[in-house]
Amino acid sequence: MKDDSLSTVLREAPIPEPIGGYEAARERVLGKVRHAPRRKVKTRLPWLVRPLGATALVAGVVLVCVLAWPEPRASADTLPDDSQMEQFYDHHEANRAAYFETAP
Amino acid sequence: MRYSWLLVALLVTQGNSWPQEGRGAIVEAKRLGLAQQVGDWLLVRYVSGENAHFLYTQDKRAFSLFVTELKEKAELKERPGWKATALSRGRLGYLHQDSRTPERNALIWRQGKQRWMILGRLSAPELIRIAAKL
Repeated sequence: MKDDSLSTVLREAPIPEPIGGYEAARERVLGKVRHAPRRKVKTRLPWLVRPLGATALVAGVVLVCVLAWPEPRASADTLPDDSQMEQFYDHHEANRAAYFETAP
Repeated sequence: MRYSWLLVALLVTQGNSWPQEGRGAIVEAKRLGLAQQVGDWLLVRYVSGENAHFLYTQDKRAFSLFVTELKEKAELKERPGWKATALSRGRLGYLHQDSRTPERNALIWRQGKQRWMILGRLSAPELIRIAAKL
């Protein structure tokens, strides 16, 4: 043998002929050539989908924020303490003054 | 994106129906079932909120009614500074006197699922008499 090295042996191996012969293979390959589409196919309406989607996203975020908002711990099951009572008295006084100022 | 802000703005303005202060919101109070006249006292003002505030006046005097929603039908717990007193129809009320202005008194009692409080420059017996009418 002229050259027994691995690379030489692999390189001189014969290339198998394609399935069905050269003619059939040529037809097969040329039949699969991709052609550029003439017109883009429109599936959605972007001018409608984008605003509606954005609105839905904003609404969802707002809804999550509103639901996660913690409720104030109102001590409504006990009697109000002195500071709360002072607030109530001041609120009464303020509204009373406001009413009697504006009333004829 | 501009259209989405427009949509959001439209939705927000459509859902806006806050009750207002002042005389115009007496219908809100009527819808809540509050009497417009208690004895000689007339309901003149309503402020919504966690403690709904109703202002009743008679000539130059006024008292306020605060209505707070309780979480459960719980009894009112006793606190220092409050004196227990019996009201008409077998109800239990608590009297309070403002430490800064002794002529101001308050009376609290439980009404169903709500806590009602009346306060003003009235004496304690007067408050009890008003509570009997409410």
